[in-house]
Amino acid sequence: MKNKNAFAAGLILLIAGFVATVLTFSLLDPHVYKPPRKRDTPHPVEAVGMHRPDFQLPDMDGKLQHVSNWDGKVVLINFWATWCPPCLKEIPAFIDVMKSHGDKGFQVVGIAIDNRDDVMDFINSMDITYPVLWGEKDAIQLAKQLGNRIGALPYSIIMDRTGKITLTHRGELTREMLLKAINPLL
Amino acid sequence: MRVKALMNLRNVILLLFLYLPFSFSIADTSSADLFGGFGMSDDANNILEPDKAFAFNYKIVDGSTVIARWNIADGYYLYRDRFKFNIKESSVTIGNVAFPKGKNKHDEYFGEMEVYFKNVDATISLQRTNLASETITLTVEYQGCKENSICYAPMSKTVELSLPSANQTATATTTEPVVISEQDSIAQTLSENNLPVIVLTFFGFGLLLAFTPCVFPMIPILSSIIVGQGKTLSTARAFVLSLTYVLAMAFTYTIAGIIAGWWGYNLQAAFQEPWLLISFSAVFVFLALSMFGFYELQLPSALQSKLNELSNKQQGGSIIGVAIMGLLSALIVGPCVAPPLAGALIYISQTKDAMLGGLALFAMSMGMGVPLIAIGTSAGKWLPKAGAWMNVVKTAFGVMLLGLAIWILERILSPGISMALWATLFIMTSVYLGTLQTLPVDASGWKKLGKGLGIIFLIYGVMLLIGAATGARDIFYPLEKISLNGSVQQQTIHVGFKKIKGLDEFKTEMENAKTQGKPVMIDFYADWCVDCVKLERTTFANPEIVSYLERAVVLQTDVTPNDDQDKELMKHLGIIGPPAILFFDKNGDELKQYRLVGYSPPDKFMNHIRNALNPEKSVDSRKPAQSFD
Repeated sequence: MKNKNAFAAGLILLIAGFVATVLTFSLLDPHVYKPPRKRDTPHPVEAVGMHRPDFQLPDMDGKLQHVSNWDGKVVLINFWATWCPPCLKEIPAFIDVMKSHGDKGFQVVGIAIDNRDDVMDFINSMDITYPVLWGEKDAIQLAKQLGNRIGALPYSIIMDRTGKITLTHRGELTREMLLKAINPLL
Repeated sequence: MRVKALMNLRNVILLLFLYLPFSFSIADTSSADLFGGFGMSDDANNILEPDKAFAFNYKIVDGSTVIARWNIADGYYLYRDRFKFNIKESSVTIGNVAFPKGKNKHDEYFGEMEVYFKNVDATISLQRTNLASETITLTVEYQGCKENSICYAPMSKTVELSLPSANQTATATTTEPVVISEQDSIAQTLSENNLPVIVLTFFGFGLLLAFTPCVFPMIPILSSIIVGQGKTLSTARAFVLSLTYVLAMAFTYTIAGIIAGWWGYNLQAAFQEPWLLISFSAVFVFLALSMFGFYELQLPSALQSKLNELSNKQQGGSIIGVAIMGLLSALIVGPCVAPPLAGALIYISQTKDAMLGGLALFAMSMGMGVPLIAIGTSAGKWLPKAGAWMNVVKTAFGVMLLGLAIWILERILSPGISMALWATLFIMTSVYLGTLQTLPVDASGWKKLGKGLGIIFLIYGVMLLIGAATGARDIFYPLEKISLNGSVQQQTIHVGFKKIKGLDEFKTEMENAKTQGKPVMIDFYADWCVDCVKLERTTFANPEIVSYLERAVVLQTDVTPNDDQDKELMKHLGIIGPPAILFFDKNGDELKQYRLVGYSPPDKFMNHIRNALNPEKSVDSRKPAQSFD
């Protein structure tokens, strides 16, 4: 019985030493605290520098509007949808900037990728003062043509007075970003 | 009694043969985030392709039911109200589409919206007038966003479905089931279900694991502890000790799982460090020798009496010892249970819910422990009170501990050497069994049985020696290199892997493959990985597979050394450890849904690569007739 206990005790000591070694080892291992590696991001298709393509889409009254209507202005084309939270977040800034810079030749054109009724309701509740065009597959196609490879929403492009695209942006476009982009063009 | 001990040993060896491999694959869209999910900034450049954010799959259940499934990347969601299903020009129409309950997401503009994170299954009931089998064209539309970032313009997929006749269940030949295997279903179960289901599922997985050799090393350890307790051992005491052991083991897994999930620390890698393995092995040899009675382990008497005192006071000083043994045992068998562990870890890293992840792992290890408890407890009952039997049992355990020492060393020794070690063990055991002595005429039945077993051990040991000499790699097939006419066999047909090492070589090969326009398969191999060796021997030596794989660039990386280069590559690809086989399409994008972890027999593997490497299929699954294009 005594021998047995001694055996057990010896075992415990041995094992305990081992556990301590293992623990020390794993704590010292640099992998434990290595910061996570960032993955490469895909290169977006470049639309900047391109001249705007010709397109026309219906407005909310169903009347076809051609992009050339706004030629000679600095135009923000904003793709959005009513079910898209980040899209709705940026719209108030667009309304504001349109109000303050509209007379200097700044124009916002919204393109809603959505069903028509939802867009109507939304425009009325939100007091959107700039023109909103409407489309489904054709609008998605247009967005892709304008460099939006993955069909992200919101997606914005800015064109200078000659119709050249000077900026593309996916995700929320903040007031600061917008002003910084259009001020040199106005 | 001697024979009884030997029977135990034999049973354990039988158990080894009964090893049922689990095969796992990851259809998880976000395992790139497995290790890196914490530091990701939410910038707009870090946005997944729609097909990666919302990976679409489907499964034909029977003639009138189809399940559409989306695996959703971490941080992305789909709107419940925005799904649309449409069947083109067919007598088949869509009846009802059932969705699971989504999560309510609050938005400052919309209020509450019902959305799905991680995954969603839509069960589509079809209404059919024509009962014969037919093909339909199904279009699904869906909308979703990345949280606090962007949304995606409505996405759609069009797939051709071959429906079996309406009153028949789908069979493998008529349909193309979604490739989802155990590991994925573990992740799936976890993210879909509530706590009791999760815990029960994991308990079940643990029970399954208990019937693999993973748990084998624990049997001698636990039994030697129980035997070490001596004659006064009651059933109750045996139960308490076994339970302690299992609880300690479970504790280790719980902690290890949480930590591993949190920091992305590769536990398996830690236990591939040669010095650690050698130390473990040495400890087991040391213990084995004491089992053979070469010496008794003694402490200085002062310390000894103190320990005795302590143990008397606590009524269970040895419980601590048992617990520590349990803790350690878990670490020892850890690499063996890496695949199911990986499933749990993927989940933990996805939810970042340590409590749930820990609980799941705890349940799994308890499942693993149930048979151990049964063995431990019954040992206390079965074993007679005292006597010479104990030496026999101890000797048997000694042999097993030596086997364990070899098993651990197998990871770093060349196959020939470890096979020679096994041969030595078997032959020596056989000699000690009295194989080479003449049995007296009046020998008992037990003695005869013992000698019979001894002869088997001897023959097997000799076979292993021959195997070691002829370059066999597997102790279960020692004569694989020797054909019936006695000549050593020529190298047979085998997949022509291009061997690579490290991340840089991998990237170079990926670039090359891209210029050639070929898909890529990469296999992670290691000498110590039982499943890898098995894959080499069976699946990768299958002529059909060898010829099919010619259309792809097939890479193999040997991570036996597990050095920094290997670790970097595994981390880059989000792999826990070998065995793992990954597939990339000809654009160099990984087809995550086709990830394979674990052994896969030739026919299953053939099916798998037919899907994974078929250029039309992979186009189909990734960019199928995007009607918006």
